[in-house]
Amino acid sequence: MKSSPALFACVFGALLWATVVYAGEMVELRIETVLASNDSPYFDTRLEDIWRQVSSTPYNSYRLMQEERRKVEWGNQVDFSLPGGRVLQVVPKHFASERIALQVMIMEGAPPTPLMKTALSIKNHGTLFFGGRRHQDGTLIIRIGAATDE
Amino acid sequence: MIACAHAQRLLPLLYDGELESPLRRELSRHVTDCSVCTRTVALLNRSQELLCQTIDDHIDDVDFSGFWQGVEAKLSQPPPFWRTRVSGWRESWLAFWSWRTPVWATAMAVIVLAAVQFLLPPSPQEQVTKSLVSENNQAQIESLSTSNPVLVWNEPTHHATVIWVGDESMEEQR
Repeated sequence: MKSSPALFACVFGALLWATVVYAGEMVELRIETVLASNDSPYFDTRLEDIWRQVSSTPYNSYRLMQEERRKVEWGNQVDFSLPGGRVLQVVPKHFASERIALQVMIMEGAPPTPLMKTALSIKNHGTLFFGGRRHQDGTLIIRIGAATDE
Repeated sequence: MIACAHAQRLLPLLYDGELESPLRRELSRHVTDCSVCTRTVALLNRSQELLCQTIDDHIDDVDFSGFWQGVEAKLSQPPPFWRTRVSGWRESWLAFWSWRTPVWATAMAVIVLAAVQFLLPPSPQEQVTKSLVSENNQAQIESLSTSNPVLVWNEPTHHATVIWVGDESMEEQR
């Protein structure tokens, strides 16, 4: 049986389109955890891009403790482990008007119990900061970034 | 002054006499001073010698006695009937497409999808929405619940929202 170019084009086109659509339905979450303290002045060079943002907080030492990126599907819950046994739960809800709606919950303690729960939306490729929890001799500042190609 | 790496790329052209005079002179001057390029030219010379020698050695073994008779016989044949020519052309075309079909089909699909994705302009409403939200970097908070004291502000440079969940000591400070 001879296969026609049109048939192959259709099959490949459909597969490619499905791949593009599936990739577009993912959202990338980026979590950076910074330990801010009033120890001797220190600024982690990996934090250069957020320096102006975190400099509004009253500390003179900023250390990047962990950084994590994950691609998830809309509606799926993702758990990020934070220092001190804390857990950050993020659910990307939907994307509308160039904004990403998120449901965020921070849990701490043993067993982990909800500390704060919020539903909000940020700009695509935008960021949001959570802070205030004590850790070691400093305070944790968590930056949450979300981006999608839709 | 010509760089050695550049000279190495030009040496075969120099060897075949395909360079213009100013460049040829500059390259020749470089070869005189550069041991690497001198060696490359020597290699080209040697390759040429070996090629000529191989041709000379085997040229006598080739039998050309029936060559022109073959050409004449081919020329004297009547041209094939047009239908035969068309069927021959069709067979060669099908043979060409039978294994290249997936390649061409993929390429066509990619081109069409890329055109659809990138050439279609965004709708005016989409453009307006994009320009409006690009200036708004603040989070829009629908709900927030916690039993701890909370401060919310926007940092001054990018207006990113900061949610500060404090503890009892923060309450005391306030």
